[in-house]
Order: sequence, then structure tokens, then C-alpha cells
Amino acid sequence: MIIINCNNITKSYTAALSGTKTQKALVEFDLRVERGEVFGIVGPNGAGKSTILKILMGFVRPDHGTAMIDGQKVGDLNVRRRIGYLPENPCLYRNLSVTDHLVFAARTAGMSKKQTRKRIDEILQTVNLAHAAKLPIRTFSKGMTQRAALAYALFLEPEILILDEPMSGLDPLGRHLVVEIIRQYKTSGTTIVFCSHILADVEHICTRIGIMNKGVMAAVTTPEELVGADQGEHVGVSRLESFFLNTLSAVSN
Amino acid sequence: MNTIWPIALITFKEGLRYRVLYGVVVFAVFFNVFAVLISGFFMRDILKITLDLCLSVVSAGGLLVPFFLAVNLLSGDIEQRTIYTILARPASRANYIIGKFIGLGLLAAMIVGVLTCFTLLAVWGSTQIYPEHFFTRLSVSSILMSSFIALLAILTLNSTVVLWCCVTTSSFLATLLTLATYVVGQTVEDLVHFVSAQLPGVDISPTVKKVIHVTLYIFPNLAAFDFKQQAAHGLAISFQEVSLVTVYGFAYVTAILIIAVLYFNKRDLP
Amino acid sequence: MKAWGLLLSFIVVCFISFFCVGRIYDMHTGGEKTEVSRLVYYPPSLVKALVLEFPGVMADYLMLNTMVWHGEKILDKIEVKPAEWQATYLGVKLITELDPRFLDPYVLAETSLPWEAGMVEETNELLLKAASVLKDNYRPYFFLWFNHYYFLKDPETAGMYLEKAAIVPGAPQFYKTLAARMRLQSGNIMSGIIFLQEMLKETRDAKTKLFLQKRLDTLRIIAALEKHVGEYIKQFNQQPENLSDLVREGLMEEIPRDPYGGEFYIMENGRVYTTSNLVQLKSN
Repeated sequence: MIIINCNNITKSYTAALSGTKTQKALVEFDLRVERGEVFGIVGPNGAGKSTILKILMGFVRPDHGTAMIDGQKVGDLNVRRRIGYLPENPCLYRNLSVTDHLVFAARTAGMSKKQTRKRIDEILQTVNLAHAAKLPIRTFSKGMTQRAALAYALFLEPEILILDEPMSGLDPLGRHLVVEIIRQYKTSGTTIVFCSHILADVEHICTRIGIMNKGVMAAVTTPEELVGADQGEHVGVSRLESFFLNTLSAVSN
Repeated sequence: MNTIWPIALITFKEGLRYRVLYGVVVFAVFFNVFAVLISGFFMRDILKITLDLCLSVVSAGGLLVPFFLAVNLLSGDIEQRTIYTILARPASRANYIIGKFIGLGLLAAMIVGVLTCFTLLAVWGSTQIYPEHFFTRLSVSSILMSSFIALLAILTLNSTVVLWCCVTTSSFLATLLTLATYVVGQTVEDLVHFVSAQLPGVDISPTVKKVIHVTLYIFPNLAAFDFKQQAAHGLAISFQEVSLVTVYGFAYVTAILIIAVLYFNKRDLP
Repeated sequence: MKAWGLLLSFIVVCFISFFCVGRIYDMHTGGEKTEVSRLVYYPPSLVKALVLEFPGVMADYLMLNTMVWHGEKILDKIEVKPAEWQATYLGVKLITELDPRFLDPYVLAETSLPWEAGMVEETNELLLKAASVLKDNYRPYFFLWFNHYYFLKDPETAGMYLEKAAIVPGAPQFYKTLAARMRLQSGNIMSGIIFLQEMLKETRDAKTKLFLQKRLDTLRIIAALEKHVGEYIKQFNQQPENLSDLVREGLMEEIPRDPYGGEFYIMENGRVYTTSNLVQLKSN
């Protein structure tokens, strides 16, 4: 059953003052994600990965085309309630603590105080931040901030997870932790859409992988297909990496 | 579940972490002590001098919210994308705007409240130093009323800051526009008086007159919210005027917030 | 070693800083101490617009500035030029535009401008503004009475103002009878004495007190001289030619000195006045 359905989406950003359309972030873009799937989007910088995720969140409106989640328009509050979102550069309030953020999330969901406290303890254990619960975010390292943002995204046990570069800026230990968390949510049936440029991680946890370039989905593959794929001239790199490079060179030709 | 109140609370909490707030408290204490001492240089209007200074500190302290906190908490929110944290929850953009406005209002109310307490303390201190007959005109209710209306003025200005932060992409521009709104709001009434008066030798073109008249209706008439002098002289503030100003303030704020929401709903937040 | 060098340079720069501050202070106190604020030369409506929602504080500041400037000039017996009187007048005008209910500037104007700069009309204009806003204060009308009576010699208008002052709540009881008494008394010295007595009652500043007291003393001397002249006329059925006649006839032991350094003389109508015009003469 398709839960995320993007049809023919085109999006250009507008320059602030002149009003001219500058760069096309997405061109006639299609994306379909099944319930319970883990869909990884990979692509070079500026391919439009973040833009499609922001469209799914309703932060950015497409110029053309439709984006639906579970049969409802993106940005609808009832849809957003069910999504956990991790922005690219963790956008937390620097002067507030991770607990402050989680209390805010609990309040928007109408959680009881007791429940809130319990859930905060739980989630901070999960992301290994229990020791820094009350410290302002500005004192955090990049990895800690990323984990705090992840805690915020996971706090209300969403049905759909949209993660923008969840592994960037993390040390190997932190990356392992995030991969484990994604795996855990995958087994519990959560639909996960994420983008990354760390191909090795994508290869291990995704059920499907989309390769984006210049605002279009150049190819969609699965880890199973990759096993049998021909590595071609790219020797000494992972299967996904060679598939990725092949796809990109095919597109540019 | 309504998200306005959580947004207001998190805005308030974030605002409280700004050290400049504590700077304001120190500044206010210093100024109020100064007011009590300097008023002794004057012959008769000791209470007036004290209240002039203290109530001006109330207004100036409150202005910190629109000029500094609001721009930081709103434009900064959009610039640094912390707004994603809020909009990732099921909060509509209208709720975001209103929640932010209420949060800023709470900050302003807190500052004005604290500084008004300082004012009353300064007046009390003054009565301990100077002879009683200088304080026969003291009217605590006028002081409280003046502070309440000063708070309304700040809320009104806050609403325009919210609008400017919604329509601009930089906090610098938002600050400039806020400053312009404040200055225009404080002077537009005088300007209208000036162009309406048939002054000999002053010829004002009808277009200019019209523009200035329109400005009066578009910009917030902040001068209407200034009751400092009445309070300083211990005059009773008429209930009719206060209620008119209050209704005006609420209507204006609502109108501006509606425009802000309409614009913000259309806006991309890349 | 490094720490010592740092400490030494710190001490040296502190000394330099203190030295400079001291020199700057001396430099500024050498000549004119206070400058009148340039703002008084701008149109009041412009200043009012410029100070946004803080006209009260601006009025207080300008009042303090004018008071200090004026105080240094007048109380320290420096000759005040007409342009400087004009600046004082403009200052008071601006202050009372910014805050029309501020009483101090009106009092400052009333105690100086008509007396020493002859700016009676200008002062009356300010006082009428005061009377229109300070409805529960008897002083503006009291001052108007005094100006009309003493300076303009217009007892009828003066009487009207005194009646207005008398009905303001809190006005001294004797105002009601004063009007009648003033009509009986031929001189206007008494009005000056009453005015100065009233002013002295409300003045706390020691320097201003001395200033007003000197003027009051002089008026009292004039009043006493006039009384003796009256006695002389009763006795000899003619006016004395000059004041020394009073001493010669034994009515007075000696002619008192004018505290302002002038000399008292008899005018043709039998009134006494002084060559100093109640303004400090330079020779003193």
C-alpha cells in the first residue's frame, strides 16, 4: 500500500528581491513509498534531496504537481502529527535544553505530565543523552546535537520518519547508534524516508534506494538487485557506490 | 490539540535565556535610583521628575521586546531554521504566528510588570527622602494604568514586528522596518495635526495631506498609548480614553496578525 | 617577568588616563561652565516629534540644563546678555511645550525674565499657557496679577487675575482681601514684597533663597524709605528734595545702602527707587 505519493513535482527557488526563478531544485519528480518501507535517497549535493523532504513536510510548496501522504495533502496537520522529522542541520533552540524541546513536543500532543517524564527518560536513554538532559543545546557537540534532534523526531513514536542526513557529522559510534535506531524502527513497521550521502549506511538499512541527480530520480533499486549487479569499471568500491557512479555517468551522457 | 500555548511557552522560555533581560533590570535599578536623586534638584515637581524618568524606563525596557527579542526570536527562527522544530509538530503556520506573538507578549508583560514594580518602589523611596507635601498628587492607579497602556503599545508594535519578520528574509531588514514603524507611529498624529492646521505661509499639497492621513490609519498610532505625563502629574486617566485605546490596540493587532498569517501561509521556508 | 611588564604598563596608562581626565575637566571649567542646550533654538514642534514618547524626560533634562546655566549666570553675578535672556525664554517655552504642566520652568521665568530682562509680555504669555492647563494651581494667576500690578502698572487687569487666583482651591486665604488692600495702597512696592515672600516660602535651594532675599530686603528698604518720605510730607507739606533731607530732619539715622550697589533716589511723584534697578551693578 502506497503511503507517500509524489506526482510530477517541479520546484524552483525564487531569488529574494528580483523575483526571478533561479535554480530548478526538482523537475517532474515522482516518488512512491510503500507503508513499512525504508526508502533511502542518495545523490550529489544540490540534487534536490532536501527539497523533496521539505515538500513532504509542507515547509516548501511545489510549483507544479501533487504530494500526498496517506491520501491527504502534505502539510495537513493530521498528517504531520504522524511524522517525525529530522532536519538537515539540527535546528534546535541553542539556549534551551533537550528536555525543553521534548516537553514542547509533549505539550503539542497533549501528553500528561507523568507520561511526558517517562517518555523523556526513555528516549534520552535510547539516544544516549540522559546525562545532558538539562544542558542548553549550545553546549553540545555536533554529534550530541544530532542525537538530540533525533530524540525530538522520535519522541512521539511517529508512523512515518523523514530524516534529512541523519548520519552526517556523527562519529562512527554515533553513526552505529543511529543505524541501530533506524533498524529498530524498521522492524516495528515504521515507514522511513531518508536521504544521505554516506552510501554504505544506505545500502545496509534500506529496502529501496533512489538515486537523485539534478532534481530527477535517476534510478531506483533494491539491495537485492545490487548484489547481482555488474560493478563495471568501478572496482574497489561498494556495490551501491558503483551503481551510483554508473547511474550518474549514464544520466550525464 | 491546540499548539498555540506550547509555542507561546517555548518562545517565552527561549526569550528568558537572553542575558540582555538582566541588563535591563540593572539599567532600570540604576535609572530609578538616579531618578529619585535627581528629582531633588528641582523645586516643586519632585514626583513628576521621578515618575517621568521611571515610566520612561518602563517604556524603554518594554521596547526591548520588539526591537531586540522579537527580531531574534522570529527572524532568527526562520533564518536559523529553528522554525522546523516547531512546524515539525502539528502546528499550523497561523498557530505559529499567534503563539510567537503571545510568547513575545508574555515577555513584554513580564518586563513591564517588573519595571512598574521598580517605579512604585522608587516613588516609595522618594516619599521617604522628600517632604510629604510634594506627593499630594500621587496616584498609584494612574501609574498602573499608564504602564498597562504602555504594554498595549508594545504589543501593538510587536504585531508589526511579527509582520515584518514574516515578509522579510533578514533580521536586519526587520529591525529597520520596526524602527521606522515605531518612529512613524510616535509622530504620525503630530504630523496630521500639522498638515490639518491652516498655518499661514505653509502650503501643503493635497497629495501629501492625503498620504499623511492614510499613514495615520495604516501605521499604529503609538502616540495614543502614551499616558506617561498624565501619570507623572497624577491626573486621572479617563476610562473612555483607556477603553478606546484598548479596543483600538486589539483591533489593530488582530488585523496585522491576519495579514501576517495570510502572507506566511504562502511563504516557502527553505 | 611578562606579568610585571603588563602590570607596569597598566599602572602607566591608568595615570595617563587620570591625568587627561583631570586636564579636560579643568579646561571645561575654565571658561563657561555650562552651555545652554542647542535644542532651545529649534522649533518646539520639531523637538516634540524628535523625542518620540519621551517628552517628559526631555523637559526634565532641559529644565535642569537651563537651571544650571541660568543659575551660574545670575547667582554668580555674571552679566547676562540680551541674547542669553532670549535663550532662557526659549528654553522655558520649549520645556513648557514638551510638558505644559511642569511648574518649575514657569517659576524660573517669573522670577527672572520680567525683573532683569524686562520680558514681561513674553512671561505673561507663558503664564497664560500655564493657567490654561494648571487649572488647580493658583500660582499662574498670582504671577499674572503681580506682573500686571508691579511691572505693567495695570491694577484693573491685575485685580481680575488675583480674583481668579483666589478662587482656586488651596490658594492662600489672604488673596481675597489682598485685592481690596492693593487698591487702597498707592504704591506697588507692597505687591513686590508679597510676591517675594510667597516665592521664598516655596524655595529650598539656598542660593536661590539668597537671591530672592536680597531683592526682598531691597524692596523693604524702599518701602521704609517711602514711609519716611510720607512722614516728611505730612510734617513739612512738601516733598523732600533728596533722601538726605530725611536724615537732616532726624526722621532717619542714615540712608541704608542698596544691596545691589545702586543709590536710592526720590522720583517726582514721591516714590523711591534705586539706580541699580534691582540688578546687580558690575562695580560690586
